[in-house]
Amino acid sequence: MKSAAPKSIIYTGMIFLSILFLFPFFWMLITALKRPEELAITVVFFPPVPQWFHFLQVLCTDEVIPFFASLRNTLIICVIVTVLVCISSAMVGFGFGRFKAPGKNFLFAIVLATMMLPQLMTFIPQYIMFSQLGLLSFSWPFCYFPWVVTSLPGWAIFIFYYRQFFAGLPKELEDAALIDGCGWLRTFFQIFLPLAGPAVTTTCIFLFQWTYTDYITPLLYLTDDSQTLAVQLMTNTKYPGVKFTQPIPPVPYQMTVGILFTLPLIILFFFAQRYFMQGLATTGLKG
Amino acid sequence: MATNIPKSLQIKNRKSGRFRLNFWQRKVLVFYGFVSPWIVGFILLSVLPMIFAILISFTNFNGFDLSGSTFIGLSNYAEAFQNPDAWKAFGLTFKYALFAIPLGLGVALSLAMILNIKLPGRGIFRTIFYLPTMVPGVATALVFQAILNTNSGFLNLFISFFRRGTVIDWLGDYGIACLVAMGLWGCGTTMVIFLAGLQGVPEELRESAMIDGANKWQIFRNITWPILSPITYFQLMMGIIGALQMYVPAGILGQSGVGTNFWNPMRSIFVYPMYALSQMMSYQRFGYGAALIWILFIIIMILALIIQKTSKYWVFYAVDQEGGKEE
Repeated sequence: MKSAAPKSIIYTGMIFLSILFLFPFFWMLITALKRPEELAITVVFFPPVPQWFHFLQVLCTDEVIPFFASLRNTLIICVIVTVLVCISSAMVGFGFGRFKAPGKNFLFAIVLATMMLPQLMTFIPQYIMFSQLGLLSFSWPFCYFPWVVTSLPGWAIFIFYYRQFFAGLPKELEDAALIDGCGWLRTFFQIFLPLAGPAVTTTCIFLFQWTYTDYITPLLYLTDDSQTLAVQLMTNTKYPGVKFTQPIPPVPYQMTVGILFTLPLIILFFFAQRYFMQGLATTGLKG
Repeated sequence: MATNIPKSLQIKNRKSGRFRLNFWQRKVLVFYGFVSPWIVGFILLSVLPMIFAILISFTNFNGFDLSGSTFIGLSNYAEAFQNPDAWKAFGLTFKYALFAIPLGLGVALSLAMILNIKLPGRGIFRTIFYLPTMVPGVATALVFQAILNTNSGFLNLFISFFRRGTVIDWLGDYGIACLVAMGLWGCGTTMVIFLAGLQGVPEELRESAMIDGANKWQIFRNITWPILSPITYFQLMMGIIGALQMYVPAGILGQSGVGTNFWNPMRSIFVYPMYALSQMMSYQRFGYGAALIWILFIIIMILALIIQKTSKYWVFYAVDQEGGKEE
């Protein structure tokens, strides 16, 4: 940009867009600070008395929502999925990246094709299969078993990502290890996986984000006590105040929980911003 | 001991012991060992469910009693084509895809191109535009409900300052527009991918073109676009698949009140996958639902095929792409 005029136009536009993009965050907070009646009966623009104690009510009591129990359930699923998908995707990616074998290219083409497979297609049949096999009738904590099953094969997008990563490493690595009498599995876990540190971090962050925010799978697979925060927030938030003849929607409380639910991800983003950007750049670039 | 035995004899002895593979054959086995979790998972969790889905789409399976369901031929498919509700739901999904995909790609590309200009503070703008993608879908839907709500939503309150007593039923009358807007709020992911692609455009190429007197459009058309087109192709593919099977945001946004059954068909934004799923989960019509989803799958595959076939006219691949594929 040579002259000052287009620069200022760009800045004005960017600032306007930034306000537009940040506004929902602001309105989230404003809504959380209203009394439920101020949304349902006497509508106000700004809350006359900001109800900051909503946050305390959610965090310190179980009247609104069993917050920490639900968060614990969410985190259990996150750990299962993140660890299993990360390791098995890395193993499969390692296989595709470092070996020559008949049928390899064909198999890899199928891996890429499954990225295009609509998740909707397998979602309900999987659910029926699991329920027919009796996998959905376990009590806590074994009710999270379906996530173990679905995570073990790894995810196509990460298999692709790891394949690209491992294929780029020098050939001498495994030769040295194998000559020293190291088995293939040990070569993978002790030499290649530690080298893939940045790729592992990126994968884990994305997996954590996706599992943490997942709504539909827990809704289908879990029941009340084992339910995750995302579902509890939508289905089980209560207004713990006076009982009215007409039930008043607990929207401000939902918004409070929503903010507390979002906050860990925002914090994670500011700590791991580099990994988010890099991960997107490398997974999204080479289709 | 072993050193005393001549080498030729050693190998012979080993061979006579049991069936032995050479190094390359063993490597093939190790390869299949490493990829076996995925192969097993693909067969059990993708192929089998898909076959199961196509089988039950020819029956009146109710979700519980597999042996009690009967084969009813193509009548599920026939009903899908005749049912006006199905057509209405598909119309909504089609309308959503028609607006969401081009707008999403266009806005993301424009933002990326602006942020690619070396201006101070562009890192902050990039963070601001990416931040919404960190918000969980449920929270996003809740806040858009709070903005678009008829009685207490921000938009109607704001318009009421200028025109008193505005009550526009945004979610009811303009549901698809609301969904598209919600999608645009989360365009940061695509934007960052485009931005990474733009940073791969060699600066010398642009400069030399500028010196040769090329205008901005010519530079975009002949230098930037060839590098961006593979990314656009991939994003377009993913966008079509994503938009046609989109239902979770629509389901949450169109939900009224806490504790309402997610599969309840009584909602303002009733897209096609939602229709298929509610047929299964609310009416126990798993056969019909599976048929509906298979029809959608075939439509998606046809569209993907069309885009793949036409891609050679608009997607540019660098020459070394072929060489870089296999080592």
